[in-house]
Amino acid sequence: MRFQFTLPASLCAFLLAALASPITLAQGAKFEPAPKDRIYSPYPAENFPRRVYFGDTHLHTSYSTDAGMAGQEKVGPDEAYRFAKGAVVESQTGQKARLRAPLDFLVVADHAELLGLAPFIRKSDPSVLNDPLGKKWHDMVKAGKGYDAFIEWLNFGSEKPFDSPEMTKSAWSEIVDAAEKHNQPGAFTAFIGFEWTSHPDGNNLHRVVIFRDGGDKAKQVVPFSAYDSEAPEELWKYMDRYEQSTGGRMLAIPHNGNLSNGRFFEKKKFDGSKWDRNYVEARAKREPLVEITQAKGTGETHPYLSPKDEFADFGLLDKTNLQGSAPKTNDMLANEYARQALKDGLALQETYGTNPFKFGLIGSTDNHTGLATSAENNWFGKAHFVEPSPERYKDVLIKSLVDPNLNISAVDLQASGLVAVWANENTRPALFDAMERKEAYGTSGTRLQVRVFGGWDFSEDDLASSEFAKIGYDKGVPMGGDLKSAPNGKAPSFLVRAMREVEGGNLDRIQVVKGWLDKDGKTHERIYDVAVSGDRKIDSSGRCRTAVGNTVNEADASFTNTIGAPFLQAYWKDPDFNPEEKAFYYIRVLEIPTPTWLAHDAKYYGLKMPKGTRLSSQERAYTSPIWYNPS
Amino acid sequence: MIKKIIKEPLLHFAVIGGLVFALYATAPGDTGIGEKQIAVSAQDIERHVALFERKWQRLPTANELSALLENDIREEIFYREALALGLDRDDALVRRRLAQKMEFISADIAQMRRPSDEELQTYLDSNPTAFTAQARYHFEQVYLDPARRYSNADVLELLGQLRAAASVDHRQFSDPIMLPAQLVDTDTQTIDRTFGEGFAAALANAPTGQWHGPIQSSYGMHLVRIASHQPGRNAKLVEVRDAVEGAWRQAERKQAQAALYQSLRAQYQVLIPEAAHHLLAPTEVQVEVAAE
Repeated sequence: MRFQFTLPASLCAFLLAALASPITLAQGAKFEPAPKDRIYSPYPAENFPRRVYFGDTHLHTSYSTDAGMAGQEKVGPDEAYRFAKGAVVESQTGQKARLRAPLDFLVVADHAELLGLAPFIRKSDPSVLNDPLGKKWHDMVKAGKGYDAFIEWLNFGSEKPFDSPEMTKSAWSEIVDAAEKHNQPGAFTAFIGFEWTSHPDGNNLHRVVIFRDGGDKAKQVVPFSAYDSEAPEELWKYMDRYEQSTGGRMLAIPHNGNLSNGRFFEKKKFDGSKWDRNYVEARAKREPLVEITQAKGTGETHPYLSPKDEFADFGLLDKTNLQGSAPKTNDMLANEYARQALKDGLALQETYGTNPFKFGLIGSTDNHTGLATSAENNWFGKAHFVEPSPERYKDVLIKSLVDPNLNISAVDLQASGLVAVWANENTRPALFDAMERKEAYGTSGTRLQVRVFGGWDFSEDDLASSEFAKIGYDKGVPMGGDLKSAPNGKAPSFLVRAMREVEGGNLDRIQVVKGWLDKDGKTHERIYDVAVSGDRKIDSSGRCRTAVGNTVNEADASFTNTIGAPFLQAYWKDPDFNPEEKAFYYIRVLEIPTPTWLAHDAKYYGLKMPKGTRLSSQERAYTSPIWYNPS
Repeated sequence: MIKKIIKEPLLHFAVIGGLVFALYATAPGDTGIGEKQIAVSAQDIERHVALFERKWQRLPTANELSALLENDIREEIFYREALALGLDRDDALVRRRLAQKMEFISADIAQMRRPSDEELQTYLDSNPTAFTAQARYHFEQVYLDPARRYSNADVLELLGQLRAAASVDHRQFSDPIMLPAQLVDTDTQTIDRTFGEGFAAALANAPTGQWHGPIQSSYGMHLVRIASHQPGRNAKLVEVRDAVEGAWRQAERKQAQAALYQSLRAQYQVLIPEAAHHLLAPTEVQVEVAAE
């Protein structure tokens, strides 16, 4: 039988008519077909970060040997994650602690070297007892001589005291399990991580390593330690091996260049030999971020390097290296601070084709208390022996073996810092990817919000838009991004917004920090004030020379927001742009002065602080740069 | 009925007592062995071999096994001799540790039991304020920057415009700020963390479905329109079971410890020099002691 396909003639006519013109609906309204570039759902096009997530990528617990063996045995990874999520946790010294608001994410980054020694001693684990030295330290701890055991461990320095692969594996597995338990995609991200703790001759080269992945992959390796190698290049190879064998991803975050005595950003390999392309590419790939603010000092810049930056003298710890083994000299500073390295990176890119120092800027705590506190009025200290007490301001964090003038004292520490990430959602992959693309910034511990976009086509009007972020992504790039090949005659322009923490200090100003490389291969830096609070004016040189003032009542450890502004924003176009010159731009936001932890201690304990004690300071945020590259 | 028995402190004591007795009875180096004899059991040896094998993936040599055993023996001998010399008596650490162990035993008993849903429900019912589900709001907000010095009339006019323009994007009325223009199904704690203490409480007085304000935040003034609101309420067991179980366990542990202590304490007569009585609180126990 033949199948015949026929349609009534009237229907055919209707279909033909329909194809020729828009369908006429019953009510007479016209149905306009959607343009080809539009899709039904409006949301895929709005798939950009809508909010910022605050966290700490650098927290130690009792599983770090320098914390646990020194007596911090109470707050382990589980408690650390609970605390970050907002729970009340009892500190080592028996004080109840809680964050004002929970963090969005946390990396427990315990030292890889003899990971877990203290807790494993405490539970008399056979993996410790089977080694004579492990047994000895175990017995010392159990006999109440834990501090002596800690000093013995410390004196080994970079030499491996003993080997217990069994302990490392078990401790690592416990840390990973704690992260797995507390990771709640969408609500709280518990990253898996560790710290590689290399400090040859006391010169700090430490890196925190963060996994993008879950326990299934992380447990296939154990942390790479400074006992394995003190060379960063070897750490990067370990990261390569991990990624190749598991399909996972990692990144490394260096910190405390200020304690490296000139080794942090040195332009040679660890063994002193010359850089090559492999080295430069590996560094750029592995280290997208640098932690420039934390309890042990600020690493943005130094007054010696930036004499025209009146805000450069902030949170400096610049007398010596990590162990106080040698004094610092001025020639070391250029290889220690981030702004200088960002500038050097532009020049190095000419030599190697890749910028080895193309990194974003973040902060984190490096606390060893298991408590990710970074607020001046709620600071539980860098280590348990500088938890709140009437005496802590007199304490020494790290005693120099050669000269008491080189001690790192408690008064020099600051309640800092935090990392903020603009991401699409609160999950390991989303936050990790945002950190890798440097859409992240650091604060000195407050939850100040800042957002910047750079592009060629922004206008003053874009500032007023209720679609700030959408315009930013449509017409430009966010922090961490790249601008290339300036369109004819155009200079880059920037949209910046900043808002203080909800109950925090108001904002003083927003600044653009620009660094560039001239045609003679020399680097320069310049600061522009782009928004200031109140009636103050920005002069023709782009600066506001009027200080915001200070409302801090030192005796009362209080301040008022009668100066400054809760929110500032700016549209700024580079007035000195040269399209031939490589450049970077990052944002620095300053708050009005607020009381330091020393002022809060003085008030709470009724102390009289010695003359010259820093009782107020201007907290701040630093964004990752936006780079301009002519080609 | 059963619940009542389980809660009975005397029963706790009997159970604990039995457990303590069982522990003593099975303790190594106990009765039946002479003063200077140490009996190593087959299980002791098996345990060492198993531990060693797990760690090193091979069997221990005779020397290694002997060394491991010798460690045990050494500890046992020193332990016994120390007891004989009474070294345990003047040692605050040993005393505290042993006292703690007694406490742990009672705590462990509380930990062993899995509570029924019924018990947890009872606990939840008697501690409702500890487990509340916060009120949640779905609302839009328009921010008014204090630097622009809005007058009352300005604010009223804005409210009027917002109320009249139901279908217009409210964000265009807002001064720039980095706060969300719309908060979807958000709990009061998050609202206060975003806008400042007291903001959520002020929302409670706002009508649903209509622009209202101004409400003061940490940043300035806001006009708000609540789309929907779920009042705070006591949590249901299914929502907070883990938290309730944790709290229940803690309460049980405390109760078991207190019960154990009370029952033991009752068996003791405490003698306090009369001259010191006036220094002490006149509790029941001490009055009784004072009468002795």
